[in-house]
Amino acid sequence: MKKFFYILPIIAMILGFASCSSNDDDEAVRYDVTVKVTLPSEVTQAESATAAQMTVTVFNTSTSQESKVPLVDNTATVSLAPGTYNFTVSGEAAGLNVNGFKTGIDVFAAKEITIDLIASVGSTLVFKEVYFSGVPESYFQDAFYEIYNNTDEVQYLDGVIMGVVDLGLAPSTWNKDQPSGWMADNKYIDGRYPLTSHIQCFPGNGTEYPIEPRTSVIVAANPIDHSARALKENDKKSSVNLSSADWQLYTDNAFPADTKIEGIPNMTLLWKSWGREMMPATEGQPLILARLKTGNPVDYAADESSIAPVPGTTTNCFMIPADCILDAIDIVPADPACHFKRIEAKDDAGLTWVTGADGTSNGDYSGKSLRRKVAGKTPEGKIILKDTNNSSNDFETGGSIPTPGIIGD
Amino acid sequence: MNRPLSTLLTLLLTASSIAMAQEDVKVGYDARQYLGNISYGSANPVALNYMPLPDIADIHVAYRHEDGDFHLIDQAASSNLWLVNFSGMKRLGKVTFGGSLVYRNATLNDRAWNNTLFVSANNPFIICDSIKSKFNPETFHLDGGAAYKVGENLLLGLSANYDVGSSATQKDPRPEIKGMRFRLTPGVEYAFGLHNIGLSGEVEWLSEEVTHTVVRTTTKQYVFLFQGLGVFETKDALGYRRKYNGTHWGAQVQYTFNNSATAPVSNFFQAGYYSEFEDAIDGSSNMKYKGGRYNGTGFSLQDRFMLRVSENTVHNITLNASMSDSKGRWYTQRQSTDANGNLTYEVINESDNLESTYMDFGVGYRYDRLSTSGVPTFQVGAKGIFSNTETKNKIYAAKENYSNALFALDALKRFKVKKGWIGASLNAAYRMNLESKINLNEMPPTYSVIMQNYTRPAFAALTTDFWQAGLSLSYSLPISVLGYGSLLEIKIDGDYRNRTKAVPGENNDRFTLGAQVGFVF
Repeated sequence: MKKFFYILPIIAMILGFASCSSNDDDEAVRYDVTVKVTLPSEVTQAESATAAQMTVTVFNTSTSQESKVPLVDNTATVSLAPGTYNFTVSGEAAGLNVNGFKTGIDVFAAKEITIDLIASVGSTLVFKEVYFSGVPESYFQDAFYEIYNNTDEVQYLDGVIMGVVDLGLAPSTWNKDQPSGWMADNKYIDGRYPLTSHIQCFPGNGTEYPIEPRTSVIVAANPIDHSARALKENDKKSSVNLSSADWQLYTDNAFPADTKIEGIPNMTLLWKSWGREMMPATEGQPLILARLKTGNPVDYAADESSIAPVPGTTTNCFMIPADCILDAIDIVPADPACHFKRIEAKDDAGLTWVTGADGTSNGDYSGKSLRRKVAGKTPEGKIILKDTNNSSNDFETGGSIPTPGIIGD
Repeated sequence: MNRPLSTLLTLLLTASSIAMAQEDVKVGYDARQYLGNISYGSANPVALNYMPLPDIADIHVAYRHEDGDFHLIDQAASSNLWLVNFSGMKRLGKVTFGGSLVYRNATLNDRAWNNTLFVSANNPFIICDSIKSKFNPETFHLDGGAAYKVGENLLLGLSANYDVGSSATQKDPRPEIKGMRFRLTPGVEYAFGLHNIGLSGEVEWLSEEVTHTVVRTTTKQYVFLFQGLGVFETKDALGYRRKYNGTHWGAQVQYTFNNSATAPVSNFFQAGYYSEFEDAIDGSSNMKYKGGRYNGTGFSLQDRFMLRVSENTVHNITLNASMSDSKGRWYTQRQSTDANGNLTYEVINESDNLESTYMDFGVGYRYDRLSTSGVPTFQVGAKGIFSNTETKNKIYAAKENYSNALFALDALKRFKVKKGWIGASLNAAYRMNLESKINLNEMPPTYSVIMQNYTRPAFAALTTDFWQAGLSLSYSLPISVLGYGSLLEIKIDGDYRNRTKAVPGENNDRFTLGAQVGFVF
């Protein structure tokens, strides 16, 4: 017996492994989140209030996974993987667009959130399409901004300001994955939007530059045929021909690439901080159209009180009252880590972005534009663009080939 | 590093000064060490005491070339490796010393998906990029150990292992990797009669840093921060830096029955346990982003039974088993800016979302025949290994599970030609997949780019059936170097591997060619 003492460890080894088993619990981890909304007073006090038709869009900031769930009796319950989410509610109630959102909600247990909704009506002048991403290699001179009269009445471009919203970043970084230092609870602290780069406006005394119902004007950074540009190594062709643009952004900044084309009216430069002209970041930056409630833009820009420094920095921005926004698009980089609101919910309750060729990376130099969706047609067959005050719903997020001057499909 | 290096070189030169009249004793010395020491391969450094050839040194230079499409996804398409090895042993009274210094300089062509050097193979938090480029890793391995016979029954031992190296590419996003692993292993053994009980421990530290540089900044480059089973984050590669810090500790118990070099029956049993962690931390001194924490634990059992039926005929049966668990801890972090304008990340949740288990069981048999002068002239072996790996992602109920069986045969014949010895060996193996399941159905589409380009191809390579065969030829010639007796050894070898299921658009094989020349003193 003693002779076989050395065999015992072998037997123990085999028995030990035979007893091993794996855990087959393969259920995905999910938590229930109940979303409740508070309707705005315009809806609750409306005499002919109809049942609200609303949807909550849930966006996972890590995976970019999005799901939409209809609200029933102003409530919806969604089952979510652990993570951080943005919740956006949009819809119609009492004939008004209603929107609201909450961003950066951590879901690591079941919870309930309440979203206050804001009512709005559609804008008169809206961005039909914006193109800022450029093409390789580092060519963004082909940018354009197409503005559409989304009403059945003549509108006037006179005095309309177009600008890029400042990101409100910390002084030591240019990373965009952090919220704006100008904002608290997704609202601008001093009630004004900060604009950066070059702030430009349409000239005129109020009725000089009409825009007919359901038509557009194209504002080109450089009104030339960019598709004909001579290509060097690593360059890629731009698809954009802006030779028939209606307006140009010529700033006389002595940049060789800033082309002035005679015969095409130029927008007025109100104020500038950096860059060669109005230059949103090529991966995306919020844009606004605004019209001052009183006074003219040139006088407003000359007033020192219209300037304020970025919090914590000495860099100045041009400030526009938040109540004079005509249209705004909260454009962010595709990277979900950068999905912070920089447009107030009353002006845009959503977010939109351009992606790269893989459909997920940032869209800088992708050659893609952001185009507003079509909501329908008038009895006369003219295009009605979608304007629910929620760019997540209103724009074709991800972007597409630019179509300057083409309305509808 | 200079002090241990000079100590070891002194040791090797001392060892080489021991000229031996009959150099045949060094032919096939590694097999002799194995057959004369039942505890050969023990984790306990006291095993040095039982080496039958305690005064020996080996210096050799080797070159290896590998090429072929059949390889793991993060392996190079082809590689060239130069290796210089100094190793040796020396007994001085009651103390037996052993150590080695190995220098490796490799060129890894068309390699992607792994910008790490010494990080654990089980660690899912790999930083990488998808750009195939040429890596040039250069590593040093240094180890040294000693076994001290305190009395008739008591042995003490201590060994140290040090690996250090760097690797870099010259193609954006240009990772530059610098890493180090250092391990200390103390051990003790007590003998009573034919029985020996041993205890050893080990503690190891890992430190590695990866920095990315982008020269052509007009094209944006990204790095992937893997979190396991297809989940990843992307970051701008420009200046992106990651550090890995880790600690490993373990303990083993050994039981040896009759460790005499000539015992007719002997047995060695070892049971071990380890626990380790590695933290991946990104950023700089004032901005830290947690990439994840890998925790691993495992235990292992091994047994070797040796039957010496005559002075020249030896049978060995080995059993090996190991089981380990690993967990990948994910951190959800929120970025903010401190009063000085620096970015900070606050951990708002952490959980072990990734779980893996690894199990191996192997059984082997080896027959050795020695000449009357003790030269191992014939050896034949067979082994079978069963392995199972399962990895789960709890968030998305994703899972991969596979089991493989490997059967291998090898044979070696060594014969004398005039003053020298020629050795010829053959080996063949077949790996058969027994089970392979991968479920990524609930994974978010945002991860599809990595699932398609990394996770599924990696899984396919790990689960495919293949066969391989190899041949090696060696020539050992006793000569005198500077008046000292030594053995000149020349070896060439080749291996060929072929997967049985073809992958469209790829070659299905891989070959390795090697050559080695050196001296044994």
